[in-house]
This record gives sequence, structure tokens and C-alpha cells, in this order.
Amino acid sequence: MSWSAPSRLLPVLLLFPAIHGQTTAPIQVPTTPQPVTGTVLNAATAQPVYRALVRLNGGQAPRSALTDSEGHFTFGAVDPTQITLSAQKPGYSFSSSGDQSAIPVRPENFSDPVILRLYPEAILKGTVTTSAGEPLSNISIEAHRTLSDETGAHHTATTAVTRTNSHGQFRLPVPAGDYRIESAFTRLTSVSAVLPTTYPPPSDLAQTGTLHVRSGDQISVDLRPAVSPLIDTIIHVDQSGPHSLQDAEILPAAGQPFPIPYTVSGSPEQIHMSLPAGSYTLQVRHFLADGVDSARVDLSPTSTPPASVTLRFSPIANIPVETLIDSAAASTAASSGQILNPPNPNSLGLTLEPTAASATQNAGPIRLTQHFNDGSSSISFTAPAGTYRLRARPGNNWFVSAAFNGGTDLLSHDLLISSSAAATPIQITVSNQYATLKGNVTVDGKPSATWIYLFATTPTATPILLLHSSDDGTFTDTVVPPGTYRAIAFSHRHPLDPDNPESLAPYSTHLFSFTLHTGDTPSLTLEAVPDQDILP
Amino acid sequence: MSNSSTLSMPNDRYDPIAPSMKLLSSSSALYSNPVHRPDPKASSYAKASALVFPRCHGIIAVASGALAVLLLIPATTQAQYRITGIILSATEGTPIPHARLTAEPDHPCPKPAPADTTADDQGHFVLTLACPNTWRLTAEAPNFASQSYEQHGPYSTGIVLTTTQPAYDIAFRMTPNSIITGFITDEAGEPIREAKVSLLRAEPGPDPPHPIANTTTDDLGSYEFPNLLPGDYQIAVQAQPWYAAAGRGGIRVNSLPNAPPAGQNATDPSLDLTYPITWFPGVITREGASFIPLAGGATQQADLRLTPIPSIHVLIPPNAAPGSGSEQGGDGRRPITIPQMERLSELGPSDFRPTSVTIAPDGSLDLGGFAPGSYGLSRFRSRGEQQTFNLAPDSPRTVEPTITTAPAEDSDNPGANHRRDFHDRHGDADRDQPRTQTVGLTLSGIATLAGKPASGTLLLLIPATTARTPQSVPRQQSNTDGSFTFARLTPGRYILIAMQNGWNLDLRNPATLASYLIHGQPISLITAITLHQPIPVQTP
Repeated sequence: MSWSAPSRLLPVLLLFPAIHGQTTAPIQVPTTPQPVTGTVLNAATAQPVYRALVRLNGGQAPRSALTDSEGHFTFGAVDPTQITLSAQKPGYSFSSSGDQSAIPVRPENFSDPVILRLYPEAILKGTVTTSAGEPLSNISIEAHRTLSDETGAHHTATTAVTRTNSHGQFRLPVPAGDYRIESAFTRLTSVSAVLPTTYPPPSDLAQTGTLHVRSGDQISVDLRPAVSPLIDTIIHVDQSGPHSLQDAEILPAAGQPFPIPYTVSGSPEQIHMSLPAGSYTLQVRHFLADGVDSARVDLSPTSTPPASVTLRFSPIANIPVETLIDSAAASTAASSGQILNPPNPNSLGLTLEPTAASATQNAGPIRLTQHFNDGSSSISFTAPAGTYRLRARPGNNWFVSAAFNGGTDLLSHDLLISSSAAATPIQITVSNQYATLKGNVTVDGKPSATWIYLFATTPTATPILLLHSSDDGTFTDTVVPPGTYRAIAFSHRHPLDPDNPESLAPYSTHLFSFTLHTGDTPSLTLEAVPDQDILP
Repeated sequence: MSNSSTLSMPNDRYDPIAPSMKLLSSSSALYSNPVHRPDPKASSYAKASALVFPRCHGIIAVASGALAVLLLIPATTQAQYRITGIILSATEGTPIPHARLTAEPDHPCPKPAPADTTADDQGHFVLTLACPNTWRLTAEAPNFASQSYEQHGPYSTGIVLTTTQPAYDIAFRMTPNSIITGFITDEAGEPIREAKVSLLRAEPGPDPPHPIANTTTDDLGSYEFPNLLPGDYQIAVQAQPWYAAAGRGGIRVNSLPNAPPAGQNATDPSLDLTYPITWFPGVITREGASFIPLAGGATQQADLRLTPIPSIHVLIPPNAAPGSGSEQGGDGRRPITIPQMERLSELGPSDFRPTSVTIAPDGSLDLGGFAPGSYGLSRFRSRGEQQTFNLAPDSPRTVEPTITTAPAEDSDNPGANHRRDFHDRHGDADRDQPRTQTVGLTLSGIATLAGKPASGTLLLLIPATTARTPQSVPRQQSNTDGSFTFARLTPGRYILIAMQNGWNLDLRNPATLASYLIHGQPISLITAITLHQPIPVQTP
């Protein structure tokens, strides 16, 4: 099977069975030790990097050298065997994604100067001041990076932490990526506290998501958190039997939830908190042997004497997950005399990913939990109220062909969970009717090991597939779910957010769209984005 | 902060209680009982108590003897203990609104109660307290370091409340934050990240400065110690050249038969460097370090450029290396673990990571990146033991040091002169009372000046036998009633001196101390002592 590529857009992309008949000149392989030279460049500015440390490994004892003011390095008399070179310097990384630690250099290339690129970190900096412009010192500032895993699911990682200095200033060195900056709840005195803030501000989060930071960027952000009095509050826990309070969070009407410290005072049924003034929801979670309970109360602590509130816990929604076989897959199997059994949901790598606008985003993806009762077990998602996307790990024997929660199509819509939701099961339909994709990739015209990203543009629980071509540029993947994709290859791993069209825009000439049907086995030929064109 | 050598009544102009307290404090009856306890039989206080009590209840004070006796009864049964006053900026003299005050008693109250309050818009406060006691007041306010009343380093003036003097009025002068900041750079002028910067402060007296806080540099090599009180400080830096560790590839196992034996490291010697502990303004010995004088509210910049020296390689033979002896595996092979190292110095124990680790086929270790100094293997710390070795300044590049095993120092109180290793860059580095002594003798007394209790006075207890260069001189600060108590003293002979303006004197100069020692009070300490004779405060 073959398609015609839209040649007016993508002249370099061929979708015919690849022809590799290249004529190459005889390769001169040295037989005696040779010098190896090169230059270390700043990947963002293309300027030489002074005093970068270059390491040479392979064949003999490791060697190291610092680059000169022109970024040059030289290793004399290197044995003629394959070596690897890497460079490093504080404030730089050797690859934009952290997956590459060194590049190989073959003896036949010793005479060619080597270019090593270092990606400068970005700096998120700024000030934290009161609304009156007074600097706030000793405020904890965190950079939260939004990352996509191989399923396309997002999660948040804290990449850098610092505190403001006496001028209220902070600096956060971070690798390129998508970030949210948060200033933490900080007690100023025993009776006042600085409330958390977020940048981009909550009002922008729904539209712009996160702050996109490129390698070498210096981004200034000024945060102006509110300063609130603290009010002593006694929380009565309406819960019998043993329990352990795990965390308490304040959920503001707008903005990210933040933890609030508490102490158990007197008896386990009473906890003591110093709560900021204002109106918000207080959520306390509480872990039991068989799940999680949570309690929410709406609070408006505004004045002394101490407020007093009661928490009544209720179980967090448990949503059973069921699997069934796609009818086409079942009939295909039946035609060959096979009977298929639905797979265990655990084998599909299912998760619920909180959406960006969800208050539970910081918690990360919700994974399946297995419950045992009276000798039987059930599998479910135990998730706090919020909105989620269903994600499935790729590369299984099965892929998710359909998913419904009641009447909601979970491949094209978010799952909305409320605290009082009835436990409507999620029904997952799976199929093993894959397509096979193969092909080859070149970098600057040479077959190379590359990373190939397939972005699904049709509804799916697995929006990204990641493939890898070997040194000869070839790749094969026999478990590609049918659907429409955009493919792009990079000379090194370069995470992209499929939900953010801007992240793909710079590489539009390297993108190729195609549709796969069950049983298709097409071949792709891709020209990868080379190192020097990857925007750090 | 200026010292106060007489009973201080800073707020006479607005507080009618002050005259009565002067009357009380001048009573000689105090000196017979210097311990900070209620004195129910002090009949001479009756008049003073009578004067104080009506104020507490908003009643006009009456200086009638008969009425005073009548009022004494409620005074002893319903006395309301309190400290009142105003919070002022020590530099501006202006009130500080909304400062937070907390009080801690020297001895527990029978019925403890919260002892905190917030000053009003004009800086005035009323702090109601649970019992008669010696109260330590701490104030906190934005842009001011958290500080105790008349604080000098770890010392402060306790406010003594008794049944006969249940109230006291003060002007709490807060010193604005002072800051020491700077940049740490390497030999090429590039910033050193994550360098450990230690701050040491000189205390009044001849003792060497001691570490009070640590911080680390940021990506610009910048560090900052905010929230400091006035005083003399020193800065010291510990770091490793980034390229030394990065260029050597972590742990290397020379397991091949032809691998170089331990001590013959094959890495580039031009990168095999280390930084010695470097003191401001750029010296590697403490003796050459400069003091950084810090005034209230001032910011001082202390930049340091580190210069690398060739690193020393330490060889640890198999029989001394961790993993030997009882840690042998079941297959008879000896598992190798890399020992956790500490650098031991005047800065206290500090984690030390060798820049290279090479394991020879025989199991011996070659650890690189050492500078001259003392080091510890913390492996046996949990057993109360520590292995240490010392590298002399003239050590060869590769050395097999003599490792000695000794009882480990208290990890909470490392070093005889290091009371505490503060980690919080914004921590309250100055709150601790001194804990330099370990034996439980006490010495109590009253300091007086011109026959009156001397509040806030520096007292030094100079060991008579080592008076010229004592390692640690016990010191104290007198309370509002002139009382003082030295605790945890070692038996011996001492000279006790009380010094007017002692906090401002350069006591590191032996000549300064010598003139006071002549008129000091000899003390032979065998058991706990309460001095019944007042200790006169010496004037310069």
C-alpha cells in the first residue's frame, strides 16, 4: 500500500518504498593515533562556549579538556577507534531533552572538526512584593514544569526551588520547557501570612496554559501575592474509628490549591489550623486502608474569636473500569477459531490526567487501583472531584478503540467527576487490529538514528507514539493503532506538546500527515529536523 | 545597640509606673535573694506593690502607707503580671507598628499560658503573663531580624517580674536587618554555584568567632545572609572546582589486570584541583581572615575569588576501607562501599565529596579532591565512633593517611566551640543561649553600678589558669534587676568581671581585658555559688 505525499508542501518527504542506493566514496580509516579537534557552541546563540569541559571516552583512559576562549578543544594522539565526546558546563545541558549524554565519533571522521552544542538553561527571575510594592523576603518560589509522557499525558514536576532574598528577588535556573511559577504560602509572623500566587495568573491559565520557556531565555516575572491575617481555627473531624489525616489544602475560588499546615490538638478529632482570612474551600483528605476519604467545607474565616468548623468525610468517587473486545477484533478472531478474553485494565496502562484547569492538576495522573473484597477484586479509578482526560500507554497487545462513561465519549471529551458522583463504570473497548508502520529517516541526507513522533489527530487515548530509527535510519512498528497522524523526526529527542500547536509550528516543513487503517503496512521516508534547527 | 549599665526606664515620659519601679529596684533587699523567684516576705516591697497594683486596675495610685497595706492583699493573690512598653526602631527612634512579641519564661509557670501579643499602630504593647518569672522577650517585625530584648549575640536582658514587682515597662529597640552579601567566583572569574558559604560571628570576649549560619550560592555565585544583627562577622567558603568532579567521571573501577594501581591516577593533572577553605578577603587560614563590621540596617558586600590548588589523593587500603571485616558478602567477596566523608574545620563538620573515586583490584580506594586539613569518615558515627585523618599542608599529592578512631562528637553539638550549625539562610541565628559548658555548676549574683542594679551588663568568667588565651569564656548578661546566673560551669578558679559598655569593647585584644582583670572578683568554684555581695560593674 502506498500514498502520494503532498509534494507541493513536503518535497523531501517520500512515501514510497524507500530506495537507498547511494554511491559512497571509499572511507579513509586512520591506522595511527590522530588528533581530534572541535568547538563547543551555545545552541541558542551559536556563540563559542569558553571553559566548557569536553570529555573523550573510548579506547583508552578517559580524557578531559577545557575549551579556550574560542570554544575550541583539542585531544592529541587519539587511538583510531570509535570514541564518544561530550561537553558540559554549569548552566548548560548537553541536549535539549536530557536524553543524550555523548555523541559518537568514528575514526574515519577524526579529521573533521566536531561541533558540540550546549543548551543554556533559561532563567526565570523576578520579584515578590506586596500590593504596596514592599519586597517580600524569604518566600519560597517554585518552578513547576509540565511534561508529557509517552502517552501524551501531562504531569507536573517541580524543577527548581528557591527563596526570595532581602530585596524580594528570586532566580530559578531551568531547562527549556513549559512552566508555571508559584510562590508558596508563607507565614510572615504567627498572625499573618503571604498567600500563594501563580504565574501565569489563574485567569490566564485556561487560555495560555503555561509559560513557554526556551533555552537561554531570561524571563522576568513580578509576583504580588496577597498578605492575609491568620485566624486560629479549630476543625472538628466527624469520623469514628482509626484514621490518619493526610493533607489539608485550601482551594481558592481562582488559582492553584495550596497545602495548609495543621496540628492535632487535644484529641484526634480536633485539628488546629491558622487559616487565612477570606472565602475558599478547605479540603482535608484522609487515608484509609481501602481508599481515600475527603471532606470539604466552605469557610469564610474573617474574624476572631476562633472559627470552628466540622469536617464530615465521605469516600472519594470510585469509578469501576470494565473492558470489552471490539466487535471487529472479536469477529476476526472468531473467523480463525479463536476466542478472545478482555484484557485486564491494568495491562492497558490507563490513567486519568487532570486537565490544566483542574484544581487537582498538581496531584499528577490518577492510576488504577485494585480493591479486594470477600475474595473478589475490582479495578477502579479513585479520583477526587475534577475533570480528567483518559490516557492509555502505547505498545500493548491492545489499544483503546472506544471508551465511554455513561453517554460520555472519553476519547473526545473530558471526564467530569463530582464528589457526589454515582459510580458509573468506564467501559473500555479494546482492539488488537493494528497497522504496521515502517520506513527510514535521514538527517542532512544521511541515514541516522532519530526519534520519530506520531501525533494522533483523531480521538484517541494515546495521542503520541514515539518511534526510534536505528543507525541505518530504518524503523518498524507493528502496533500502530489505526487513525490519522502527523509524523515528524528529530535528530535527538525533543519533547513536544501535541496540545500546543505552537510547539510544532517551527517544524511545519518537516511534518507529514497520513491515515492508517487496520492492516496497513505503509513505508515512510522522513527527513529529520537536524540538531542545528532544533529550537532549544 | 547601646548597652544599658543602669536600670533603664526609657519610657518615663509616658508611663506613670516607672517611678515606682525605680523605687522598687533600688531596694537593697533584692540582693539577699538574687534568684528570680517571688519573694513573699519582702515587706519593704509593700509600698511599691501598692503603687503598682492600682495602676494595673486603672485606679489612681495612692502613696498612703495604710492604704498600701490594704492593697497588698489583692496584689499577692490577684497580681497581673505584665510587661508593657513600646517597640522602637533602634536606628530611627520611631515606633514600629504591629510588631509581634512573645515571652518565654526562664522557668516553667505553674499554669502555662500563651505569652504573646501584637503592638498597636503606635508600637505600644501590653503583654500579660502567667506568673512571676524572668521573662525573655522576642520581637519580630517585617524588615527587622527576630531579636530578643537588648540582645547581644545569644544573650539578652531578662525582665524580672515578682509578686512585689509584677509589672515592668520597657522600650524595646529593634535593630533593623543587616545583610552580608557577595559573589563567589572561580579562578576564571566565573560564578561558583552551590558553594557552601559559612557565616561566623565574633562574640564579646576573647573567643574566636563561631559559625552561626550557612547558605549556598545561586547560579550567579551570589549569596546573602539577611536578618543579621550588628556585630563583627567572618565569611568562609567551601567548594570544589566543577570541572574537577565533572572531568573525572565519578567512580572508576580499575578491575583490569593492567589497570594502574591506586595512587597512579590517569586523569589530566591540570584538572585535578581543589579549593581549600577560603576566608574573606581571600586567605586560606583563619588567622588571616578579616572581620566584616556590620552596623544595624547596613549591607556589606564580601566577594571572594577562589584559587585552586593541586588536589591530594588519599589512599585507603583494603583493611581500613569500609566494606572490610564483618561486611564481607556471603560469597566471600568483599562488597565495596564508598565512605561518607566529612571535612572537619572551624566551620564544623561539613559533607565532603571527593572529586574522584578509584577502586583498585585489591579493594583499596584512591579518593581525590582533598585539600590540607582534617577529615572524617562518618561510617561509624551511629556507633558513637568516628575515624579521622589529617592532611598536612606539605602532604605529597598521594598519601596514605594515618586514620585514628575516636569517640564521635555530638552530632547536635559538633565541635567544642560550635554551639549549633544553622542551616536556614533566614534562620534566627541569634536566639540560642550559650551552651559551651557541659558540667552543671552554677554561679549567681547581682551586678550593680553606683549601688543600683545594673541591667544588660556583660559579665565574663575568666578561667584564672588560662586567662590569656581561653578557648571558651563563660559570659552572661544581667537581667533588669541586675541578676545573672552562669550555668553548666566547670569547677575551677575564675575571675568574674562585670563591664560597663562591655558589649562594645574589643575584647579580642588581650590588653583590653587585662585592665578589667585587675579589679575582677576571684571565684573558686567547687559547688554552686550564690554571691551575696553585689558585683560592681567596672567602668572603662
